[in-house]
Amino acid sequence: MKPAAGWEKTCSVFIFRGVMKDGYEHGRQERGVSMKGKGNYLVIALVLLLFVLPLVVDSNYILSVLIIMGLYTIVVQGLGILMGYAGQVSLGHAAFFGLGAYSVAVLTTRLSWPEVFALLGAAVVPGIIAAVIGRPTLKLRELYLAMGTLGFGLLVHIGFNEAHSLTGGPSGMSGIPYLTLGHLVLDTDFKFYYLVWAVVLLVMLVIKNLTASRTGRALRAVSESEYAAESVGIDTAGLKLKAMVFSAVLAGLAGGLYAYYVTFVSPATFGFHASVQFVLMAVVGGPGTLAGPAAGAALVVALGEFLRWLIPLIIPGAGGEYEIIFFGLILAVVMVLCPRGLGTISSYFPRFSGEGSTKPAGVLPDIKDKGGIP
Amino acid sequence: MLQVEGLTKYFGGVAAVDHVSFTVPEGSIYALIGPNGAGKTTVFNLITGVLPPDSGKISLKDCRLNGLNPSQIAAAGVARTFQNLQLFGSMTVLENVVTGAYLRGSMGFVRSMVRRPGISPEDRALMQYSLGLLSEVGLSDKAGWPAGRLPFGQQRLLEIARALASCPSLLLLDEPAAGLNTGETRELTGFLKRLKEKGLTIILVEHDMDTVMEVADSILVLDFGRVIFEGTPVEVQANPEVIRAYLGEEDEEC
Repeated sequence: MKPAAGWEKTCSVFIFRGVMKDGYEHGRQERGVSMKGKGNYLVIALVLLLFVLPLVVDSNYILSVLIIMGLYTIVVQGLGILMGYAGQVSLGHAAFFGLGAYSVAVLTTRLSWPEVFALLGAAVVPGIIAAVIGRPTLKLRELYLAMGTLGFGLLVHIGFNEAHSLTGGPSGMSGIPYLTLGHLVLDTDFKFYYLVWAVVLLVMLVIKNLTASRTGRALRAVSESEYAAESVGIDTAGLKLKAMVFSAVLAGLAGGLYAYYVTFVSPATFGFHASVQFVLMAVVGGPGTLAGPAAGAALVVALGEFLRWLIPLIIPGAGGEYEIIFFGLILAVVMVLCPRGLGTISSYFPRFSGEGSTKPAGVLPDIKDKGGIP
Repeated sequence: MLQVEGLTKYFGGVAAVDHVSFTVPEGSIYALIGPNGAGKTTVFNLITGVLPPDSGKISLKDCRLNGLNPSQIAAAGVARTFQNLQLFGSMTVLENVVTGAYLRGSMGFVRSMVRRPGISPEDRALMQYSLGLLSEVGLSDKAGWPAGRLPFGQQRLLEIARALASCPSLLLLDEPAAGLNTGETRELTGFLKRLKEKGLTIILVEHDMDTVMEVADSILVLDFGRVIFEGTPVEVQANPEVIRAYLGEEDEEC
C-alpha cells in the first residue's frame, strides 16, 4: 500500500547527530523524565539501595510494605501507559489486578496447575478480558470512559463475591501455594522482595523501551490529537486497545504475584477503593513519566502505613476515618506543590535536570504559547 | 491521480457538499477556493475519511478510498494538514516529524518493548530522514524545541513537514498560508513549487488569492457546496460567476 513517491528520493538527508540527540533529550526533559547526567547516578544509587535494603533491614513488616509498593508499582506502570501516554482513564484496574490474583488462586488450588504456568495465566486472563471489553469501552471518551471502566470494575467485584463455587464468595480462597521457581521456593518476604523488585525493574526497562519508540510516539500522538494521529496513519482505536490490554496484563501479573505473596485472596482487596488508589498513585506520581508510578505507589502506600501508626498516637481512640482525612489533605498539598506529579520533581531542581543541553525555551522572544505545555 | 465523482454530504438538511466532481492530474497543484462555508474543508474531510460521504465516489489511482478509515487512507498515500493546527504540542519539532513518518516504520507494540535499550536503528534512520525534511522547511535549527512553542508560521510549516514525512503521493493542505506574513508566504509558495517539481500532487484550500494564482495549475470554485467553475487561474479571474460569488451581485451604478 505504501506508494513510492519520486520526490522522496531527492529529499536530502542531513546528519546532525548533535541536534538529533538534543532534540530527543530536550523533549524528554520537557516531560521531566530526563535520565541524563546526574539523573543516571541517581538511578544507579536507587537500584543499589533497593538491592541492599533487605540485607540491612531486619524487619518483615518493612519488607512487606516494600513488596506491596513493588506490586502496586507494576500495576501503576501499566496504568501510566494507558493514562499518561494513550490519554485514556480507567477506574476499573483493581478488576484486572483481582482477575490476576483469582487466576492464580483458581488455577493452583482447584486445577493444580504448576505455579509458573498459573502466574502466566494471571497475566493472560486479564489481557484477554481487556481485549474483549476494550473494543466497546474505548469508544467512550473521558468521563464516559471513566464510568464505563468503573462499571466494569464493579461487575467483576460482584462476580468475585457471588461466584461461590469458583471464588469462594466473600470469604475468599486460601491455601494458595508458594511460588516455586525451579528449586527455589519463595516462602519468605526476603526472597519475595527480590522477585517483585526484579519484576518491577524489568517492567520499567520494557516501558522505557516502549515509550522511546515508534509505538510510544504513536501513543502520545493519540493523546494529543486523534485527528492528527489518524492522519499520519496511526490506527488509534487499535493502539488504544493494545495499551489497555498491556496495562491489564501488567495489573494481572501484579495480582498473580500478590496471590502468591499473601497466599490468600478475597474480594475486599479488589473493590472500587483499590481502583481509585491506583489512579491516585498514577496521578500523584505523574502519568507519562517512568519514575512517577514507583514514586506514586511508594508515597501512597507509605503515607497510609505512616498515618495508621501516627494518628492513634496523636488522637487516642481515633478511627480509620481520621487517617483518610489526613491522607486526603497531604495528597492535596502534594498535588498543589507538584501538579505534574512526583515523577517530574527533578525538573524543579535545575541541578538534576541536565544542565548540558540548550534551553531554547528560555531565549524565546515574543512567542505566543499555543497551549502545548502548561 | 485523484478522482472525485458526485460527492455529496448533508449536515442536517443542508447540503454542505453537493454532487461535487473533479479530477486531480498527477504532479499538479489543484486549488479549491470559494467563500467561507462553501464546503472546501468538508471536501477534505470526506477525502481523508474523517467524515463519511452520503454518496459519491472517491478514488486514488485505482484504489477506492471511501469506506476506508482515516488511517487506512493515510496508508494509501494521502497526507494532510489541518486548518486549525493539530500539532503534537508537547513533543519536540523533530518528534512531530518522526511521528509523521509512522507508516515508514515497522516496530509494533511488542517489538518496541522487547529490544535493546536506547534509540533503535530504525528510529535513528527515521530521525535522520526527518532532520532532512526539517532542513527543507527551514526548521532544522529548531529540532529540539517543543512544537507548541514555535511561532505560528513555523507551526504551519512543521505540519507540512509532518505530513510529508510519510512520503505521500497526494498532499492536502488546508489553508497553509493563513496567518503567515508576506515573507513566510513567499517561502511557502516557493516550497510548494519545489514539491511539485519533485512529482508530488497537491490539493490546496486557500483564501490568499495571490498564493493560489501563483502556484495552482487549475482551480475549482465552490459556492454553497456546488461547483460553480473549474479552470486555470487566468480563466477563474475572468469568470463573472466567480466574481459574483466572491464580491456579490454587481450593482447598477452607484
